[in-house]
Amino acid sequence: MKDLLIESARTLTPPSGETIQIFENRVGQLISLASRHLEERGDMDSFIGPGNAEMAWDNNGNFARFMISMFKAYQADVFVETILWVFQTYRSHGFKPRYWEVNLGIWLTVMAAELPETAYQELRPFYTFISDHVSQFTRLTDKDTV
Amino acid sequence: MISKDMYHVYLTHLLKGDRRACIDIVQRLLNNGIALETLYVDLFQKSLYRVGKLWELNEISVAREHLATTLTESLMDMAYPHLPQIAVSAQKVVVACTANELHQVGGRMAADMFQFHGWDAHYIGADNPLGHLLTFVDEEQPDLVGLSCSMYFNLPQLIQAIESLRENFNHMDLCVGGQVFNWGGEEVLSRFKNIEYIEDLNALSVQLGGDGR
Repeated sequence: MKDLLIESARTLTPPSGETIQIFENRVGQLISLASRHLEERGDMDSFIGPGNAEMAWDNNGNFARFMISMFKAYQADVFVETILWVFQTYRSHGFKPRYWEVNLGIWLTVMAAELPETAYQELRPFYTFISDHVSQFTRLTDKDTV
Repeated sequence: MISKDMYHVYLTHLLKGDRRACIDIVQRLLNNGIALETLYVDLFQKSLYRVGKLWELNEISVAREHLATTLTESLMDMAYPHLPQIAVSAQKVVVACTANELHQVGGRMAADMFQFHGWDAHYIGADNPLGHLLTFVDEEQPDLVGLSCSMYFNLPQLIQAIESLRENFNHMDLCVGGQVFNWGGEEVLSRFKNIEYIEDLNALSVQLGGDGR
């Protein structure tokens, strides 16, 4: 299953330098907005687990900076392996798969609102790749498979 | 030279933060003439990798992970009286963590490894702003600069440091270590000349002429 994910990730096209620059310039604002949207839902604890709010905020910052690194030197296997590590580690700490479904939806909403359309369209496939494959990442990081 | 039992006892004391017990184990190993590379690779590095894994699995807290790391750093000081004399003609290396990189123990271990092999090693710690790194390298004029980077999200800072070092010190050899390329991606370094990726302490020891572990 992991090989199929990597194969699928190979079809993603790295964003242009201009789009990466736009994303990088606005990343602080995007992190802040995404975190606020998450908090304002009011049901965060149900999918991040108790006492994990700080880890969720940290993850939003690390996630955005990780994506910048990925965009600049895109490699499908690194992308997939890192997502697997994140799923495994965060699930061990009590995060539920629904967290990624919700959080990736928030990121797409925030980016659609804050970034120029062309930049958004170049970045969107990386986020939908993760959200479309949450069930596969979950299965690969179920305790009995790791 | 480090038995499984001794390693597990050490790890247990390390996780409890039992400084005295850890000191006793390290002192016993040093008294028995353990090679410093072995001490670093088979005890310090191995136990900290395990500590990191335990955090990933949520079996220990960040605070306990930090306890084990800082205790290990203090234990590393015990190796220093056993360092070889540095010859006047020794090659010089500057080891630095890149900007934003807060994981510093690996870089410190790498610098010590250079020192074990007779290099004059200067370790400048975590999170070095690029301008300050360049100034320091210019002042010291080392034969080699080692950059330590652990988190993939700090890759842009690593690449920026390499580009600037290449631009300003074209002749100087560079190496990169740390867990930044744990899942691959080191090919990004291939566009630079005179640069080597060193996977871990053992690989560094071999590279420096040791026989590895």
